[in-house]
Amino acid sequence: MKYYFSLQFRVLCRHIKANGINPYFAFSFLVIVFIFLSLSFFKQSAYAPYVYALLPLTFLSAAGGQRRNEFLQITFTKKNLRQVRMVENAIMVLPFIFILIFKLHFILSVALLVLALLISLVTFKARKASTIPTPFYQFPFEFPSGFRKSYLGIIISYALIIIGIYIGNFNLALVAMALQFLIVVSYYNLPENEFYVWIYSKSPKQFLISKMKIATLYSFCLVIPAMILMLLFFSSHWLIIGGIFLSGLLIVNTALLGKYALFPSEVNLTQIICLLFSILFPPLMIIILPILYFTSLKRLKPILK
Amino acid sequence: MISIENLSKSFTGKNVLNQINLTFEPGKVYGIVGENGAGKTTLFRCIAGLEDFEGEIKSDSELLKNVTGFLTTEPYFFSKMTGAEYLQLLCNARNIQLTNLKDKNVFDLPLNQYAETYSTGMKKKLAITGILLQQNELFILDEPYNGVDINSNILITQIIKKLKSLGKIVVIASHIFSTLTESCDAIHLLKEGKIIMGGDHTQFDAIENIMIGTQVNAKIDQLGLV
Repeated sequence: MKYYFSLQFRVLCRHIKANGINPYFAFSFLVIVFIFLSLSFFKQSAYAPYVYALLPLTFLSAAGGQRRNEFLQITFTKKNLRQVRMVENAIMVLPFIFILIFKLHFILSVALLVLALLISLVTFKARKASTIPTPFYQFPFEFPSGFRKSYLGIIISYALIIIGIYIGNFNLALVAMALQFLIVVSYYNLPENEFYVWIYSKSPKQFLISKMKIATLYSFCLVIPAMILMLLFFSSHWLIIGGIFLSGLLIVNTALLGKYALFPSEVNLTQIICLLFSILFPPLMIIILPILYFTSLKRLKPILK
Repeated sequence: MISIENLSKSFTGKNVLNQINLTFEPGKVYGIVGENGAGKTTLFRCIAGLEDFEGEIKSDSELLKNVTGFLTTEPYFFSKMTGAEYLQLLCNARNIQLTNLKDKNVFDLPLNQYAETYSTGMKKKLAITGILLQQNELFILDEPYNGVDINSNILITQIIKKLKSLGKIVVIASHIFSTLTESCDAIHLLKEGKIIMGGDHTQFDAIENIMIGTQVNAKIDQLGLV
């Protein structure tokens, strides 16, 4: 079991090194970003701790995927397997627990740990027969595939908006709307297999523009009901709502261009840095977007010629 | 016509392909055989434009990759993407209008299921359907028969014959020589990155004998079984 975890760490370091980044620098950077984003998140609403405690549980269900578990099952004994899953889940929620303790939410931190350990006993089986319908089937793959992976998050975000409207908490509803854009950003966090770029009979410019059009259109479709609801019930805040909506669309495009700016590298620190600056200071996107766009053109040229 | 001239490729100093010269004519089917690691997949990736290389590939098309259908050895599918969406994606990528999908599903695949849940053979059949729908001029098929049931094997062979009659170029790689003799006009034997022999039907037996002689018998002798 010890070897398994040290191997996981080595593999992770190799991935980071393969992209020309010092792993210790990457880890330090991620810790700072994580702490900063977490603390900013807590400022948004009185309900933020509850949403924050729910976030890591989505990663845990992904880690319990069937194929991965099958590999672990044939590799480890039943007892070791349970230990491995428990330790893995504990490691994944630990950063969130530290923040919750720091913010003095002791009960939530214990509840999160208990839930993480309970989830380690569950294997999420892939259901072959049922396909989750998606309104985004016309232009695969990011949205249809991402929507199916994140539909629970989307439902939760809409539920939070409705709760926010019901209790008259504008900040909660706004955070939930911003969360929808972050969910869409996650659709663009990993580069696709080069085959899926190669198949396009488009120039890099045409390819990027078509991808950006789809990202903008589908993000618009996904978040527009939320924005309409917010405008109806918090009409005095129309400027903030509109600002977040526009910034969200730009951030999605930043994520998209960030992905292709280092394509086909997997660990995309550039994307993380650009996204972070875009979220912190949206006007910066006026500079960041063109830089990412032209870098992406360069990176796509060898494949799309 | 596609003409490959003096194509060489190396990875970190190791020559994977060495001075390859081949010509592919429209309306003909070509087979590339060779043991694992001979360089078949790398050669295909070079033709498809997925790898840089030394030498030259000339073709009648302005941009060869835009009319190339590439069936990879292990087609990759995104998670939570249905078979129908995969086909839609491939058609969108080439600006092809996808209509009557039901009729075009010749392998009777469960297109509303997630492609990642398909069996090995079904994945291959989905990928083949995709490149056929793209209406390509050049078809590069890397191990098209792997993991595919016997009926689909026959259907794939018939599809290849149809492509040939339509004037398309088909290049197939296979470990199994017998799968190629029926459909190929010419077969080339690749060994350690070099074409060591090639020819039409009259040469097929000789090529197969070389394959068996150098790549099979010699290996069995190395085992020293008594």
